[in-house]
Formats: sequence, C-alpha cells, structure tokens
Amino acid sequence: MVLVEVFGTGCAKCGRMIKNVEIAVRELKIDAEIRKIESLDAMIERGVMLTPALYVDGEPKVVGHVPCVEDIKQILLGEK
Amino acid sequence: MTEQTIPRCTCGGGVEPEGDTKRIIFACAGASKAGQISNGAAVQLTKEGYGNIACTASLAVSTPSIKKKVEAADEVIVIDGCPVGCARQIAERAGVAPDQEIVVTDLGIEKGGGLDLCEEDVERVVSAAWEGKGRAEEENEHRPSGGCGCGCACGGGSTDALVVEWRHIGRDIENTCERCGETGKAVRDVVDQIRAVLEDVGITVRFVENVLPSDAIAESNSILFNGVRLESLVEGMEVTSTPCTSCACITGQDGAECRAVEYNGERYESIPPDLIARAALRALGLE
Repeated sequence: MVLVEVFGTGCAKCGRMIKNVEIAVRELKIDAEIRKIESLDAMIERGVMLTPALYVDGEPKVVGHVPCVEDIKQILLGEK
Repeated sequence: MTEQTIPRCTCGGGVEPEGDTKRIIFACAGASKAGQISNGAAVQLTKEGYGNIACTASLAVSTPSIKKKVEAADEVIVIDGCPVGCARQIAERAGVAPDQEIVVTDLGIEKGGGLDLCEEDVERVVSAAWEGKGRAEEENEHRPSGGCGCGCACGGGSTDALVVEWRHIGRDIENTCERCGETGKAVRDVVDQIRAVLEDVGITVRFVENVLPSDAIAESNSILFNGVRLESLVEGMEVTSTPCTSCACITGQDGAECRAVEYNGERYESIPPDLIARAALRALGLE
C-alpha cells in the first residue's frame, strides 16, 4: 500500500490538492492510503514549511503548488 | 533575514511555473461579478504558475507585443464571465483559437449580485482551468473524469465512488485519543469490508484520514461519506460531546470534550461499525 500524505491548512488550494490526489488514486486503481494533515505541529515535526505539500511513502514529492492529476499519477507510479 | 518557523501556504503566493506548457490567459474582466471573477481567476492562475495573464484589450487592437506573446504560447486560455463570450470573440477576431474557454456562469456562478469577489467562486474557476473543463467536449470525452470542483473530497458527487473521510486530532491512528482511535479502526474495517462488495458493482471506495489541528477538537471523531456527515445520513442520530481524558492530554486543555453520537437512546463515544456501514450505503443511495 502506498501512503499518500497531503499537508495543508484546509484552504481551497489545499482542497484542490487532495481532490487531485483522490482522482489520481481512483483512476490508477492503486492500493493507497490518503492522509490529510492540517495540524501545524505535525507539519513542523515533518519539516513541512510550505503548503500544500505532497509526500509519498514519507518522501516529499511536491511542495508549494498543486500538481495536476496527470503529474500526481506519474509521481505515484514512480515516474517523477 | 528572519527564519521561517511555521509552515505557510502558497495561497496567493508566487510559485514556480508548473510543467513546460506555456499558457496565456485572457479574461473578459467585464463589468459584472462574473466578469470580475474571470479576472480574479486569471490573476490567481498566474500566481499559481498555470499560465500568464495577458491584456484582452491589447488583443482587441492587436498590439505587436500581444501578438508575440500569443505566438510564444503553447495554449491560449479564455475566461469569460457569461455566455456572450466577449473575450472569446475578441480572440477569434484576432485570429486566435482558444484551447480552452471557461465561462464563469456555466460553473453555477451568477453573473450579477455586486462586484465583490468571493474567494470560493474564484477558486471554482481556477479549478476548472486546471481540470481542463474549458476544452472542447470531444477532447474532454477522452480525459479522465471526476471531481466536483468544490475542493472537497466528495468523490465527484457521483455514485460510482465513495470517499470515506475520518477526521481526528493527534498525529495518526496510533496517536489520537482513545475513542477517535477506535472509530478510526472501525472505519478502516468497514471500508475494507464494503470495498470488496462495492467494487464488484463498479463503485470505487477510498479511505481518507484527515489529521486536524488541536484547536479543531470539535471536529475530531467525525466521519464523512462523499462529503456528507454521518449524522446527516443516519436518521435520528444526534451529535453530543463528553469529557475525554486522552483529548485533554493531546490538547493540553483540562476538561477537554470530544465528539460522541446518540442514536436509539444509546450514546456512542466511538462510532460502531454497523452505523458506519449503514451511513456508507445511504450515501450511495443503496439503503
């Protein structure tokens, strides 16, 4: 199972990130657990200083902007 | 220089351009709410690195600089406030064929009603551009579908997908309060059980865990199904709160209370699996 973590403070931009992740996971039909993290303490603990941020299996993949669905798919497939 | 000590969001902040596609954005910027939203969305898309806003008035008079910008662009995006399509008509008269045309009122936003911009409306238009909703229909038929455009995790409002969202404080399922942890385990178990059945009939099931900040304790221990709360799906269920010692530990607040529900005369501090399963089926219109 892939752990997909989306760090964001709950604004519309961060909401779009989680939505795109949802679509990507659904269309790839992969076994993934999506975790939204809105806690500032948790972000600081993980070293996330710019949101929205996308981590896959604990590794930072995107920081500070919303990737499109196709980009997220490539990230989840390990192509990016 | 001051060192940044807390995370900040790039909402409205400058970010690096995304991808290699060079996009130019023309907004009608008309004298209505929808027209102003078109401009607000073009500004936001520029800030997010999707493309670059350009002057529609310059396009109308075909200035040399705008011609150069259009020639250098891979894609032309037009955002019109209403179906009159002034920006699209200006582009067409200048010999420019838009790759994407978004009409604000087509997204369920009213044309009039003052000139004050609503952030959510602007965001809806921005999302539509990112999702390519303004592309020609035949092009969109081959594009991935999904997403309701509302920025939530509702699974696109369709009945071929179920998104079960569990909200809680604490870091994760092992580090939240006791009742939230039990609810989380129950949600995961139910999702695993119903996934096997629902996916056989073409319904995809996703589990989303939403880790809330400590000050959002009132939202902790809640479950949403395609964006609809459990208590809205189970008739007769009431939300209450009861003292929670482990929440007091996590938040550092003496006397902290955590969400619970009451149903059929019983109070549940952690949500039982059968109620979670029932709500899931109701969200899909299957019960």
